[in-house]
Amino acid sequence: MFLINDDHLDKTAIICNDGNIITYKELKKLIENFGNNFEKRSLIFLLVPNKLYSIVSYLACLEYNLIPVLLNERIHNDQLINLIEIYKPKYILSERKIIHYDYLKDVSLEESNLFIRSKTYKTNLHKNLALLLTTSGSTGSPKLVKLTKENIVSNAKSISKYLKLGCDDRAITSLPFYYSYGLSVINSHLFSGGSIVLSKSSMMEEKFWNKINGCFVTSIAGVPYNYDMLLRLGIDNLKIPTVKKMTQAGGKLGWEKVKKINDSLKLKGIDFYVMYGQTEATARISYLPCESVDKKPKSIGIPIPGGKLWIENKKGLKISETMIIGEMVYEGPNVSMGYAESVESLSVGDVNNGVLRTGDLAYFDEEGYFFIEGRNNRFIKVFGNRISLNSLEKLIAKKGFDNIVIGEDDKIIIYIKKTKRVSIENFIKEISEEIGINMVAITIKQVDDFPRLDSGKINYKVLNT
Amino acid sequence: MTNKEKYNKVFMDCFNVSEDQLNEKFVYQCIPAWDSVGHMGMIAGLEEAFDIMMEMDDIVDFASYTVGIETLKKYDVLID
Repeated sequence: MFLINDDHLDKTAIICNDGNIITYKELKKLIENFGNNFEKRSLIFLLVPNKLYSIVSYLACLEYNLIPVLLNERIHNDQLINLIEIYKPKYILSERKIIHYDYLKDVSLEESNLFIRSKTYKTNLHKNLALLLTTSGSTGSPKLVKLTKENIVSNAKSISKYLKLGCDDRAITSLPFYYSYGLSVINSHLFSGGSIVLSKSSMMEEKFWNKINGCFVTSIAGVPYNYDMLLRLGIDNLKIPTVKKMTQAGGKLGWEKVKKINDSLKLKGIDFYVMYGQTEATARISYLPCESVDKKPKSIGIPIPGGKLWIENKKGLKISETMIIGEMVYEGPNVSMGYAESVESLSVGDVNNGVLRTGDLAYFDEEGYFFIEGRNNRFIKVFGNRISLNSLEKLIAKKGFDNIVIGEDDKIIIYIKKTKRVSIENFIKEISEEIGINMVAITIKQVDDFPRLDSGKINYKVLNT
Repeated sequence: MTNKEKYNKVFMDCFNVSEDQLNEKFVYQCIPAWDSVGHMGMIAGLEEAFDIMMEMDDIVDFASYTVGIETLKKYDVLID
């Protein structure tokens, strides 16, 4: 079965929120029961939290050839309706009510409801397409990453190899399921015969830490802001004796913090892995071997097993010298087929041919370690959520505001033209709730006019975060 | 400013709420702004306002507006 190896059937696969233990054998059975309910090769939106039925539905889709789009279960309704209108999925699985004239509630599955499209719509899906993940889901951007089964399996295999995962490894769902990093933790542990502890709580809750100790969790994954929390909570005082590995990805954690965390975790006997990746490459692209963290805390490390990284100059030629900055390019079996921006593009095959231009500017040193220096594109990570600044501009423009959005990690700055129409505080609150990002990340600045280049295009360079 | 005023101001500033919303029903995740990110900001605000350093257990235990009043007693901050 997809991701499940028959050698592991008697082992624990999942420990549920209520403490219930599910073996691989039981998981397989649940997947079989679930998968039989659907028409094959249809599109399904999964708006599911970190629960057992979510993992079951995801695995069943892959096993029974349904194509899931994984979405944040708390996505704002306007954004959700926008995605429904564009992709016209045959099914929607959600704990929320879906209010749309084309959809009717069919059955209740666990805590969730299955909605079926009443109007027939023939979606052409490419034969290799297996999974769709969002690029900037909370802004309602229709841009999705198209992944194949080979992408998922090869990335899980690479991760399993460099993290040396096996049956004794047990991860906790500290990250959302729809997020490529969170999903990669699940995929790689299942692939390796390890287990997953389901948790709804965050690192700021006592329940989370009780679960780690009570369920003998061995590995924790976090984005930079999770590590900021750990530093704030006092990482030295953390008592988590069962934990053996901690990983970080989903944005840049400053090197001083990397060093501090590594020093502290080393004393506890925990290996700390700094990693880099993109949803366009399923999840993982590179990792910093834990023995190198001390020596090269600024590095994103070396390519994952099975992948290659190199740097290209502006002309698209490979740079062979060390320390020269150019665009980082990745090649590997985990590189997606490409993007979908409309329902028609779901029928299109692989356009990447295993090569991904990362949009990150980087160089490599004499030992082949890569270092990121900047970004070529307009994506930022805010508390682990990937936000397209362009999509956010569009979302705000729809509200009738001429605007420019700039940002850096964990920080969004919105420029709007001076107006009396709006209270800044309420505007921040509105945007915050719509994109599901805590308002502390958002600043609004009112300006008379926007800086422009001679061409009339916005001059982003003169706007500073 | 009294301790109560300082305490309320941290909540009002961090979560963009009015004073009349601050009661025993004001708990973790009761509004979108009080998520784990907001929690961290609120703790930082309290530490600054009362010049204290809170322990990990107290931070993760701080589940509501009223629980917080009890927690702060440990740091000799009395909110009446």
